Amino acid sequence: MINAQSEDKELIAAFRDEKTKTSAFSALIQKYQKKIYWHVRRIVIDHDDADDVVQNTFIKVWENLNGFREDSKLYTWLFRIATNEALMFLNKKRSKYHVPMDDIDFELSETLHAGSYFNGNEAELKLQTAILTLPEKQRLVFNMKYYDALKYEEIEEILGTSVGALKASYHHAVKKIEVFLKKS
Amino acid sequence: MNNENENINFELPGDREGGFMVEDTYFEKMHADIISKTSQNGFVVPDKYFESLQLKIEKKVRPQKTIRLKKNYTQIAIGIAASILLISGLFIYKSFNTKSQYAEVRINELSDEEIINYVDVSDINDIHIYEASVKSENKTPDQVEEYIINNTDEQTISDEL
Repeated sequence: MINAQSEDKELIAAFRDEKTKTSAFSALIQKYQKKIYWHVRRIVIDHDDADDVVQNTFIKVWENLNGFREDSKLYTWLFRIATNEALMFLNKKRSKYHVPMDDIDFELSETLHAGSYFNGNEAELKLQTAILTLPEKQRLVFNMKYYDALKYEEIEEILGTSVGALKASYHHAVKKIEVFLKKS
Repeated sequence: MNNENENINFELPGDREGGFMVEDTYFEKMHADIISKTSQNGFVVPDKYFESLQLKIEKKVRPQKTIRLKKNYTQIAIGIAASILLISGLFIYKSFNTKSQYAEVRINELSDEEIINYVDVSDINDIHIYEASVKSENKTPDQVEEYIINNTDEQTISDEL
């Protein structure tokens, strides 16, 4: 019986069987939707945008899971799709509104401060604002290490960056956040 | 024995925490930490969002039923339109034929007297009668001229001219 508690290998095998494809996909969504959602939400900030990106992510999973080579873990593969979809979404936003790269981060910060889907205290708001000042790659690394609690090896599979570079990136991100919080 | 029973429920000296110390704001901070973790660091999600997310995704990956429904509807509409045109065409054709047949039947039902009364005799002269007979008997133009001269008065000829 396939469900959200099933092992990833069982889910993949069940998905590749036409008779159990649909139930396997449902179980996969139930198992990973929250993790994927929060990962995406921290990138795009706005709930409605995150909703669109998450749906697009799972549609891509439906279309491509049969071709998944299993050379990485299933959830790192899911995270990679979700990350790419979120970054593509932000790039489209930049080109649609002819917004320079730096200004999109300012726009995300504005969304954070103005949005009705954020009710954190002052400290949380400051921390999220500080994270948004980081360059895109550093922000991704910081979120995945700090919030998603992923190992460097897993982040390497997702971003295609070496473990050494990821450690350096995370270190710089933490330093910048500390400086920002001290200043504010 | 009775003295042992009386001593069971005695109060221990000191408070129930056993003398362990905590900072004043510890429990408030712990409460805030728990709240923070449950709302994912300030980001809020609409109620029952994750329950509906799965359905939305499944609808998008399996839209076949919707497409089939649209196709059937179009085909049905075309079929109905074609049927209406066909029926209308048949009706018009039948209606046209019926009128002709009706006219024929009506003429057949008329008596000779009614036909004669219908026809205005003053409009008919010897020339019209002879022309009618010439058409049925295949007479030549010379024969027609001869008949007219022999059987018609000058007044009638001048009226015709």
